Amino acid sequence: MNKIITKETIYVNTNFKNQNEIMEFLALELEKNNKSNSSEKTVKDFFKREEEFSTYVGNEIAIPHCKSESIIEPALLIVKNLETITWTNNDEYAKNFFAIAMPDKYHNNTHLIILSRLASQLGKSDFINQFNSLNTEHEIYELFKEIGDE
Amino acid sequence: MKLLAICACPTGVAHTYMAKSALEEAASKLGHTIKVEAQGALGIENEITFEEAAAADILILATEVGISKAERFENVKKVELPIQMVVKNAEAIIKKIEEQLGVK
Repeated sequence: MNKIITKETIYVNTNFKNQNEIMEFLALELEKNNKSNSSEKTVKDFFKREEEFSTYVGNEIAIPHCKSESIIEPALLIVKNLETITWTNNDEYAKNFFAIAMPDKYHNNTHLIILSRLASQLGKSDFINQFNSLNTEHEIYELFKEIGDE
Repeated sequence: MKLLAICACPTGVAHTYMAKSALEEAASKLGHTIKVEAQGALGIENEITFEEAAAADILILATEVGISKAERFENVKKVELPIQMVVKNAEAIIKKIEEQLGVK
């Protein structure tokens, strides 16, 4: 049973032009899905983490994440943008985004385990190659669904 | 080489586990053994023992925060790097270590 990865939170072929647009979008979606009680605070917290150190991790992937009082329940959002955009530093070009939003205090291990498994997969080149070859919400959902079910 | 690593990221979920995977994959590719301990939101996972610490060639500290139970590594050679750098460059980092330790 996993509520973290759903088809609703996978966005493919989006047309965002810059980091701001993506961060705002992520925060608004979290609020829309009742995972955040304040998109304003969520955006601030995403950017706060970005200022500490960039969440760009190579391979055109960025993993914006935050631990925020505005987050009610842990959530994962996946965005596959059509074009690469400049992330936090000028030499970072990303078009795949895995956003993890965590509540400030949280004790449900199941969600944490699923998120940690996801993060592990993102460190493996096979998985990244697989992800890069997929183009629909459905395929991506199928790929990620298995992670939660172990 | 016998490598050890500790990955610790403040959120405790994202970089921690990405770095762990990346290091494990890179080490395996380059023919080394590695044990990666994750310190994160789930507490300490895959904890490195005192014995393992004593037998290691080097400890990679991939962290943005201090680590727990640091006393295990008092006498171990260490290299400390920002965790996001490790995620991006795990293979290059291990190769650099090979050079520095005169392994290859």
